[in-house]
Amino acid sequence: MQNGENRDCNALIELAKKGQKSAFTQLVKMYYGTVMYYLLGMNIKHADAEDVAQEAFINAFRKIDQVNTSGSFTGWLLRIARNQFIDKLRREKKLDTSGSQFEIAEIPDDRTPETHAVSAAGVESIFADLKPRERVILELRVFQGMPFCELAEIMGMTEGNVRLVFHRLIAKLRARFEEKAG
Amino acid sequence: MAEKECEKIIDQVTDPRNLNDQCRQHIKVCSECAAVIACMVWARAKGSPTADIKPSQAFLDRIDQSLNNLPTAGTPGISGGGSSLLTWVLGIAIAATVTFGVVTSLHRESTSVPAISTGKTTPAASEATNTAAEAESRVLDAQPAAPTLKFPSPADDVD
Repeated sequence: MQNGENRDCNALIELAKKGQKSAFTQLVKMYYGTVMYYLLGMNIKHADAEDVAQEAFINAFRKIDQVNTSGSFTGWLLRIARNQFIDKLRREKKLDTSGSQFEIAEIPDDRTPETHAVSAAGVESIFADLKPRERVILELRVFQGMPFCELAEIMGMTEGNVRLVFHRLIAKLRARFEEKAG
Repeated sequence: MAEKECEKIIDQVTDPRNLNDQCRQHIKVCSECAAVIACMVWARAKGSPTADIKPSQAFLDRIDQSLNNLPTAGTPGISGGGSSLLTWVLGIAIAATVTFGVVTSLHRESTSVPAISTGKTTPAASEATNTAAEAESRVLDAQPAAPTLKFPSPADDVD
């Protein structure tokens, strides 16, 4: 996230903390894409991802007092979305998250081939054939500038594993870039 | 340049806040890292794929409706203002329980006989013991004397 955008975001968070719902709606508009991209990266249907995103935003508004503007709002919001998604899976008894570490890769893929095609068409061709997990890591690291430790927590992976996936991803992108440039 | 070092540089390059002079120097001499930087610049220039994902009006309406049903930010029922009320009630309940416990134990101490445990008797305790002993002896005095058995002495038969 750019610095100017960050300042806007912090100002909106402060207003939302004072109870201004319109400020929070602005935050929803700003972060909807990131939250949806993250949830769609978990291989769930668009409608389900919207439901989870809605619950996550409402929960975020409830807990807005807990946001520390010196930290990452994106990370905080995605943690809420992730927990909301895990709760949904537990309710539907699709995932046993007790004991072992929860990983995005473990989530069953609910999407039909048609949905796969639609969601792939919705992103830039450069990212289109990347794995969902790779796309989310790329987005959060390259475009949001999220530190690896926070990225690891959000993705439910170890920091070393995130770094490994990221470096493989960079190598893949570089090859694709050179192909296009050459 | 070692590959591990390049990985560190790439980690730093993908977060521009970490890009220092050492990184810049390295990028100038390392073609591998320079290629990655070019790739990152290309990806950033294309823009984040999330920028194209916008919420529908229906989604925003649902959010607005849900927000309007909530009291205010950070004070949702039990987790906000409700929790402070709950804390007060719990505090009062705990204080009342502790006070009751202390009063009850003090009352018990004042009515019990501590002589057994200490081996010493207080004046009040010894007075109570004496009174009990006197009452017991009075009861024994009131009871009829035990019958005395009389057997003929062997000397009675001797003439």
